[in-house]
Amino acid sequence: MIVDFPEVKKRIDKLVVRLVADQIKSSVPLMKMVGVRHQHEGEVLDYNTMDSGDRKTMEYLQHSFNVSFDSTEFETLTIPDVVTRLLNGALEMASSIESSALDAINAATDEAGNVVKSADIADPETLLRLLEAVQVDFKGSRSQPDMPTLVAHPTTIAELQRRIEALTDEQRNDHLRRRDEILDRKYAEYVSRENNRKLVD
Amino acid sequence: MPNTFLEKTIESWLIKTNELGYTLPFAEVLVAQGHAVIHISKQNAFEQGKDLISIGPDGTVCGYQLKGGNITDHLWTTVVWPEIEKLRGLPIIHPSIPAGTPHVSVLVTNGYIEDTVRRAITDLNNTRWQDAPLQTIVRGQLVRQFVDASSAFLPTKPADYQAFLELFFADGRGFVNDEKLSRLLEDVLDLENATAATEARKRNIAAAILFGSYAISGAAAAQNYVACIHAIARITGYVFCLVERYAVPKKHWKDSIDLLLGAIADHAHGLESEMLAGRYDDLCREIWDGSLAVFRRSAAFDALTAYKLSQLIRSDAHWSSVPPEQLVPWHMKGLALWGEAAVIGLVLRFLLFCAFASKSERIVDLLAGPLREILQANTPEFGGQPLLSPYFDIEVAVRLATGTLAEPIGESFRGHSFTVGLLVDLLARYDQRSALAELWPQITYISHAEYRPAEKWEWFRRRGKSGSETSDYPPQTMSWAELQRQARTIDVDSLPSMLIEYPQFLPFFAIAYPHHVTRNFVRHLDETVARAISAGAQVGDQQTRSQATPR
Repeated sequence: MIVDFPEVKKRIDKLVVRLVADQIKSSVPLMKMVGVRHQHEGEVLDYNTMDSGDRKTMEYLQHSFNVSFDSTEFETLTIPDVVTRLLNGALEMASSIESSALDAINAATDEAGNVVKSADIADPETLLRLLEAVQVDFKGSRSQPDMPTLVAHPTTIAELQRRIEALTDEQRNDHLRRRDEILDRKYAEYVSRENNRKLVD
Repeated sequence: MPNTFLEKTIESWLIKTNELGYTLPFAEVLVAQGHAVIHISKQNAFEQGKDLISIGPDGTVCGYQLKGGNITDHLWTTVVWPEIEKLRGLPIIHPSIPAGTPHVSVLVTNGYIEDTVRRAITDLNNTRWQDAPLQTIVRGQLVRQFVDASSAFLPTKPADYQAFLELFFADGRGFVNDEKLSRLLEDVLDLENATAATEARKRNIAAAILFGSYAISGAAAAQNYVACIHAIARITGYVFCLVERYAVPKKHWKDSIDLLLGAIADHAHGLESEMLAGRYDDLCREIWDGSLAVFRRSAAFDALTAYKLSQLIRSDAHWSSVPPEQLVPWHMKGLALWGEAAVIGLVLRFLLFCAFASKSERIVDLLAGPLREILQANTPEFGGQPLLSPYFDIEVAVRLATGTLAEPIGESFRGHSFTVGLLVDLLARYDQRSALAELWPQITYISHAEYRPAEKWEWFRRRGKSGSETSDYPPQTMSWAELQRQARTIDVDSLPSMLIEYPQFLPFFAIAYPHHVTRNFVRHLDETVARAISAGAQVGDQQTRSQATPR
């Protein structure tokens, strides 16, 4: 055999895999916000939900992408060529992962019954309905709500911001007052929930 | 006290190696036992059934047939038996042995001989072969012999074991780690022990060859000829180092050096065959090979070039066995100026192509081209991309090119070069005045650096400690006559005596120690090659040196 550089090749493999993984993460911002838990043993993950206590089994989805290289092109392939082709495949996979994640979230919210349907999702009023629908935690006091994250298409976010800025002072004060009322209720629910976390006889 | 670890390591090495892998250490064991090894067959060459011929200390002539793996009944019947008949029956024809001298026949294997075969050999020894019975050496006996010969050096510290095992288990597809191999050899040769007895030196040389063989066994098993050539050149260099340092009497090392040089030639012959079989052209098997192939070819073609020059220097007519029509495309495919160590390879290529004697200016470009590159790249100004100095090998260059360096190099390489002076010398020796005149203003901005050890034996050490690194700017105004006079001046006395005694090693020294190649070394190498050509190794009218013969 003609002398080779196996250690360099291993290193390139590692760097490229990391590059592709980073690319996937940066292409799927929603997934970056989700915690990661590895299952190190066993075939299935059996769990119950915190709120209802229902038992469930995690349904793992396999995501992959295929990139093929013809041996006749090895002679002329450069490292950037290979990386570009891998990244293209990775981006397709990232899109698929994101789509699956949104489907899973939709299924979970449907099941929990806290789906808010609106013909105008950029309406500030919808924000209050969403806040009403979800569980809100607090960091110990009413003044420190752990506000949920809003995930939406960038154009929807921009439209929502535009409409909020367009509110009159009166409309804005009314919006904030109703928001505070909702949070007051949420705080009461939070205190009730937390008070339930106790040992009793 | 038996060293079980060493025994197990040697046994493990024997199991994974093939007959070619243990030929050199087996021959060295014979030398250590007092034999004179007078012949080793080239790879795959079957010469009268004898892979190896030796004369024992009592004058007994021995012929050996070396096999890899177990001798099964089927293998014995179909392959080995007929070869043994030749081994036993055909007389040894060799200038060192009087015609008609009887010989002892020995079958050697790094595996086992099956019971049925052992029985068959015993029966034959008791009947038809009674006059000259076949002797056998199997794995267990080989392990014993190797352990005995290796016992001059036993790794005693965990760090020694670790270094040895890292070499032993290294991926055989790459280069052998030069730093680790050199450290191992310095330990095995007991290089710092000034009071060792001569007999101990002899045992250390044997142990160095054996441990060196264990260390490169991965590369040998992978038939990675380039890595083996580099590593055995380094082992040879270190034996020279010991001999030169302590003036070891020749009778204690000559046979070992012959074996080492023979092993380099054997691996180089394997490389040539492999390249001729098309594997140099067709080596891309993985997606990263598109980027790495030019480096792999550069190393392979430089090694082949060193071999061809070595053959030329020792007047072996096979030096021209690969014609220029084949060499030129190989050269082009393996042309990469990845660092100043690559310049040394280009110097060798220049000398080889000159030996074929084309008057083409393109041959001179093999010198002028890299000179221009260095002058541009190593300029003292910011902005150039200086070439790696010859202290950085091709693996570092590959890592640099692929962004896989573990840590930054930390040197700028600006304003000086380790090869600019020797390129100027060669161009002056080959009357290339116009090229030098055009480049002279730029040349005066770059100082030529080289290491000049105070002790000659340090030429062969991976990193010398004595002496100095000198760095000289050429005069801004230079006389052409004076430049040529200097370029033609060779100080032979300043070169190590082993390089003078073994001129065929010069090209291999150049690729294994590119950082120790000086202007004086290159002038001497050029002169040596020129003498070999005028001694009649050239082929036909094509091979007269052109205007390129200034001496």
